[in-house]
Formats: sequence, structure tokens, C-alpha cells
Amino acid sequence: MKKLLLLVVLMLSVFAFTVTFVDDAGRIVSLERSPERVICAAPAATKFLEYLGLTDRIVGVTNWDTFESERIGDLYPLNMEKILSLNPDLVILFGGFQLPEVTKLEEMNIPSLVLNANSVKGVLDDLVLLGVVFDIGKKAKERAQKLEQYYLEIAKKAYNIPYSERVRVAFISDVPGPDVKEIWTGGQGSFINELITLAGGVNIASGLTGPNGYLPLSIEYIVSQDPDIIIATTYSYGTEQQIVEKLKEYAPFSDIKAVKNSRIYVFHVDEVSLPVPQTISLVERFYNIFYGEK
Amino acid sequence: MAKKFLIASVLLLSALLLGICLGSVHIPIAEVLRSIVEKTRWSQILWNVRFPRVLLSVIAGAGLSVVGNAFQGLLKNPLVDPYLLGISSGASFGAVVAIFLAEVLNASFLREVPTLTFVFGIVAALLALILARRQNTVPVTELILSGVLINILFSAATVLFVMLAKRNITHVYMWLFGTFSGTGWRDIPVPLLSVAGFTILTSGLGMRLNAMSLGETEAMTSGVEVERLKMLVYITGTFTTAAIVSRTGMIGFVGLIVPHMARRIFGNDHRISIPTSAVLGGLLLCMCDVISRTALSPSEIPVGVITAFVGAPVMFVLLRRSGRSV
Amino acid sequence: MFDVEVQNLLFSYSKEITLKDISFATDPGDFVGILGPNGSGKTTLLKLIAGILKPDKGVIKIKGKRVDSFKRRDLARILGFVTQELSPLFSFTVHRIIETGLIPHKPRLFPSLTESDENRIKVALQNTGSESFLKRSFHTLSAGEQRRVSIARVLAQNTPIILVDEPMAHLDPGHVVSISRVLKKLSADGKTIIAAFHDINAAFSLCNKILFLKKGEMYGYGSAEEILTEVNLERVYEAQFQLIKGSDSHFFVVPKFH
Repeated sequence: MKKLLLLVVLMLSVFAFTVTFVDDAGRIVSLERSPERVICAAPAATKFLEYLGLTDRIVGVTNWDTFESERIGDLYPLNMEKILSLNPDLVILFGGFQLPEVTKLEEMNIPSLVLNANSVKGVLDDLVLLGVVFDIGKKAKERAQKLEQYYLEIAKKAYNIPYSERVRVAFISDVPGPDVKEIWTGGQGSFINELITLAGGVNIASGLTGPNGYLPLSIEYIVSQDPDIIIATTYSYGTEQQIVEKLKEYAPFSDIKAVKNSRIYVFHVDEVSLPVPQTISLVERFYNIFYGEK
Repeated sequence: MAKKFLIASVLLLSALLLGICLGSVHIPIAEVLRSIVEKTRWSQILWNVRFPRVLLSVIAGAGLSVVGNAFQGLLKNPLVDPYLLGISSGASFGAVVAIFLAEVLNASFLREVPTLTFVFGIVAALLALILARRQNTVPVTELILSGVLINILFSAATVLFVMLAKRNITHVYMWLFGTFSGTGWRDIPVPLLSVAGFTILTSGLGMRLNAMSLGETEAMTSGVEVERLKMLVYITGTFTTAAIVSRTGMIGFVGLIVPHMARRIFGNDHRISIPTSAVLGGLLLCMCDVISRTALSPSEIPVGVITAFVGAPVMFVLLRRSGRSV
Repeated sequence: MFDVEVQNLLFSYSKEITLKDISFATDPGDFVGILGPNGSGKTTLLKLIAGILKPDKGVIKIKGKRVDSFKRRDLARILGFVTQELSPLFSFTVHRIIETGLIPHKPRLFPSLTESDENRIKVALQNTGSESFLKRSFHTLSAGEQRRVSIARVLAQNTPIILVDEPMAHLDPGHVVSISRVLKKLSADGKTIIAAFHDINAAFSLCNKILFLKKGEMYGYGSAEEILTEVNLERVYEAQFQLIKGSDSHFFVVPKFH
């Protein structure tokens, strides 16, 4: 009897927790247990864990993170010494320019997970993926579904707005000036483009694209498109008003509807750029900006 | 002379040890010593991260210096460095292609970054050689010019590729300054063998390199097969440089400055200046790497930035003090 | 067998012909002076004989064998070349410079110097009056001393044939005399020397044969007494000269200034 019990326990322990999944870089990763010590090698990863309530597992973050934890240095190149010394069960990093670092982690046999969402659907998928990794699959799926319902509701409202009443939106990430002749914006394929579109706005750059969806726009083009709304970004909190003033003072923009009607809205870069669940709330904020609280 | 060499070797060894003991993670010396004999929690960091990194910095420093030294003597030009033939921009093009393929096809392509950078580095150099060929000879001025052209060409190609590929490959800038981050044991064999081989080869050919430094006519009439020697040194030197650069990115100044330092301290005979360049170069780059990973820890400064800050003043001093002796 | 034999040589750097219809031969022990105005092709001719340049037409033979059929190493054992100016990139010691003359006689990789090699270097320096320079840095020597070291380098190569490109160029009169002595001694030791000269009198005093070159063409070749006539000099240099007998029955060439 004892022997049989032992056998059953042994068999069960095999099925206890081994999870195998495919990350956003197409890598097949296997983990033997739910990660307890996680290093977030990109601020976006921290945001995901915050959303899922898993921040107690974080043992290290990059210098660029706002979360309080042991600093591991830059996103690129990754400081292998620091990472190893923290003895992580999992390192979460992002794709794009950070992708090559994953080989270094693999060489050291450090389990790593690459996230690379650049669409709303992608963010939801990552949420579910992380749920599987951290053994909270059900909870994660629920939250993802709720999030989806949330933004789809707003999208539906936006959808019902007749095309003639849709606002034209320009997303600009630099303030133009004597040294800034070209302004970077998000076109087709970028996260911000999708948020604007879901909120019912017409992104003046939506017909264009570039690396990861981002591309530079010339001043003439922006002026010729005469956007109703300008969404701008800043790198430091507290400077929003300054940015608005600068844009108003910029001569070539003086005839744009957005400037004449003072419909300039400034966000902190972190709020609009990270492909994380928290950013999806922008759909609602944008909708309210575009169409009021209809 | 022997005394100077001994001092240099001792310094090199100390630098190596220092490099192993220092890093962004503080490991007390007692623990370092313990990790030699038994497995401690620091063993993985020391053996798999620091040790290969320090070794590669020594190998790379030695290699770049020796190639720079040989090229300078061969081309009778004190301003030449290992990147003469356009290897560096060829290599960065290769890196960009590898990373693009990794994003588009399969992340496992990332393992091929060293291979592709190596291949394209060699391709660029060969193109420069072919471009410079005039009737079975490779005149020096033609070579320097075509090296510049190839460099420009591949740099432009890299930028264009990034634009057309519509990917965000911003870390290409890291290539311009080099880094030893992420060095593992797999990165050691090829650079080690090529650097050792090249150093031995060019030391053995030292007298002929001396003759080349007198002039091509003098060398030729003293029995040196000038064109063959040039080809041999260019090709093996390019191979060695590409082996290093494919793993570290482009580290500047070392290949240019260290040969001059070695000549000043140890004399102009290539049979001596080449091995001593290896020792001095290894020492210099090892120290620069230590600085790069401890100065702003846990961030890492690209090592080429450090070598520039160290190299530029040294170059300046050398230039001011030079008379006829470069 | 002739030491050096040139047959129907034709050579051009680009479109214009640099050397045309050059044919001559030297016997072992000759001291041949190549004379002519600037641009007549003297240096080019020497480079062709040394196998550094390849003729467009014609044949050059060294000791009966075509110069282009030699391996560099083998050619370097019988033919040495003293260039017009030795300007090393680095400040080598004289010892290091002379050493390079030994290259054709030593193995390619890791050649080491034996006692007899060191001896050879010493003798070469002695024959050029420069033994005291052995350890000195080349750049610290005067122009004349550097020229002597340059010749010593080729001496260490121990070749029966020596080509010299303008041995007296840019030298002070005192240095001209010392170089002249060195060359005289070499010739007396039995070396075959072919030298390009700017100075007609130097050539006259040292050489037993003269070759006149003008605009790439031969204007005479033969023994010095035969070739150095006022008529020939006027044809080659387009100016008038006179031959004046000196106190030791030796002739001097002096331009007719009036």
C-alpha cells in the first residue's frame, strides 16, 4: 500500500508543474515551476506584472524602471553578472532592439521570456501567456477578457459616430522647432495608431508606416492634414503646459484647427508608448477627449 | 629590454587578475579564491561571465594591436589601423542582416550574429583588395582609398537596410563603440587561435616587415616578394580582425595607438614591437574593459568610449613629442 | 657571359614612351655610368634591370638568364639596388637597416643572425667607412653618412652586381668625395656597378663605360674615353662643354659658360 502511494505521488509530482510555451520571439521555453524570482529587463515587463498583481516576485529591474527594486543596469547590453547574482527563475525582456540579448541569457542557462506586443490583441495575448507562466492562467484570462470587453465597448461607441464627425488626430512625439524639422509619429502597425483608431479618431498617419510602425512626418504634411486634435508627449511630468505653449507658438502650426481650438493634449511618454495592459485605458481617455463623455 | 618586457608581462597578469576580481557585482577576494577550489554561489559569475570576458579583452587588445602594427609597417603609414580595409562597416552590416533574419524568420538566427558579421567583414575587405588591385600589385594609396570607399559603402548599405527592413535596430550604434558584454567561452577559441597565429607569423616575418618599412623597392631588391607578403598579411590580418570584431563590435584606437606605444618603449624592430604590442594591447584593453563595467555600474559604458578617452590623450602626447621618430 | 644584357628595350609608364630601343651589355667588373638630363629615363632603366618594372618589349638578362624568370630571392643574391634616398618610416638603428640586406640569404620565418652574419655587417660598414654608426639611429646621421649606410646595406647583401641610383644626389662636396671613394673601392673589388649619374665628372672619374640617355633614347654607349666627347655632350645636354686636361692627365668636363 505504501509503495503504491509512493508511486502515485511520484507520478503526480511529474505532472505537478512543468509548463512549456512559445514566447513572442517564437522560442519554446520550459519551466519547471512557477517563477518566484523574476527580473524585469524592461519597464513594460514590470507593468505587466503590476497588472497581474505579481510584483512580489520581482527581484530586479532596469535603471529605467520606476519600480523600486535592485537595479540591473541598462536594457542593452544586459549586465549578465548582475542578473546571475540575483539568481532569477525567469528574465522577461522585450523584442526589437533588445532581442539579441536573449542568446546571452540562453548561453548561461537562464530561463527567459521575450514579449513583443505591438497591438492591443498582442497585449492581451501576452497577458494570457504570463498567466500560464505564473500559474494564474484562469485569473489572467479573466482579466484579459474583461479588458477586451472594456475597450470593445468604447470602440463600439466610437464606431457609431458617423464618419463625417470623426476627429482627425495627429500624434507627435517631438515639439517642432529650429532644430526639429521632422516629427516622429505612429503609423500603421504601431500601438498608438490602434489606440487612436479604436477610440474613433482618424490618425493622419494611418496610411503610412515605418519600422515598428513609427515614421517621421514633415511639417508640411501635418499642416496640410489640418488635424482637429494634437496628442503630444513629454519626457518629464510637470511640463505639459510648457509643451502646449510651445506648440501654440510654433508659427507653421498657427492655422491648424487643433491649435486654434486649443485641442492639444500632452501625455507622458510612458503612458502612451508601452505596449502594456495599463495603456489600453487610453482608448477611453482618447474617446473622451475626442467626443466628450457621450 | 628584457626587464621592460618582464614588467609589462607582470602588469598584464595583474590586470587579468584585477579584471577577474572586479565587476558590477561585488565579490570579496576571499570568495574569488575559494571559487577556484570549490563551487560557490559566485562560481558561475566568475567562471562563465568574468573569466571569458577578461580573457577576450586581452586577446582582442593583443590582436588589434598586432594587426595595427603589422599594417603600419607594411603600408609604411603610421596612421593605419586594423579597420583599413573596411572590415568594421562590413561587419556591422552583417550584424544587422543577422538580427533582421532573427526577427523575421527564427530567433535562433541570433546565434549566427558572429558568423554573419565575420563573413561580411571578410567580404568587405576582399572587395577593398580587389578594388585596389592594379596590374597584379596592390599599391598602398589605392588600398587606403578603396578601404575608405568600402567603409562608406557598407555604412550606407547598413542604414538603407535598416530603413527598408522597417525594423527598429537602434542598437547598431553599440557596434560603433564595441562591448565585451555577454562574452562566453564559445567566443574564445577562434579569436585566440587567430591572434596567436597572426602574432607568431608576423613576428617571424619581422625582418621582412622591417625591410618593407624601408620602402617597397628596397624590400623587393633585397629578396622580399612584396606583393605576396602584402597579400598574406592583409588576408591573415583581416581574418584576425574580423574574428575579434564579430564578437566585440568595433573598438577603436587600440590598433592605432598601441603599436606606437610599443615602438617607443621597446624599439622599432618588428620582431620585438609585434609581440610587445600584443602584451601592451592586452593590458590596455583589459583595463579599459574593467573601467567600462565598473565606472557606472550596473550600467556598462561601451568599451570603445573608454579607449577613445584613454587613447586620444596618449596620441596627443605622442604627436607632440615626436621628432622624426613616430 | 655578360653580367647584364639589355636587348631592344621598350617601356612606357602611360601613353608617352619612356624608354625606346635600348640595347647594351656589360662585362663582369665593369663600372657603367648612365648619364643624361633629368627625365631621360635613368631611374626607370635601373628599375627595369632590377626587375622592379616589366618592359613592354625587349629582353633583359642577368648573367644570361632572363630577369623575369628569377625568383626575387635568387635575383637578390646576385643583384643589389641602392635607391636614391633611404627614408625609413621608423627610426631604425643602422644595424637593423643593414640586417635587411641579409634577407636573401636567411630563412623566411624567424631568421636568426649568426656570428658570420654579424661579421658580414661589420665588414660592409667598414667598406663604407661607417663602422662607428652600428648602434646609432639612422635619422641622426648626416645625408652623406646615410648614403654610405644605404650602400653598406646592399654590400651586406653580397651581390656581384650593384645598381646605384644617383649616388651623389643632394650631397655636400665633402660627402661626394667619400662616396666616390667607396664606389671606387667596390669596383676595385671586382663588383659590376651600373650607376645613374647627374654629375658628369664623377661618372668620368669612376666609370670605364658610359651610356648616354636623352628622352629615353640611347645617345651612345662605349668606353668613357670614346663616348665622352664635346660633340656628344652637346647633343645630349644641348649646351656646350669643353674637356680640360687636369694635372694628372685626367680630363674634366667644364660647361662653356660664355
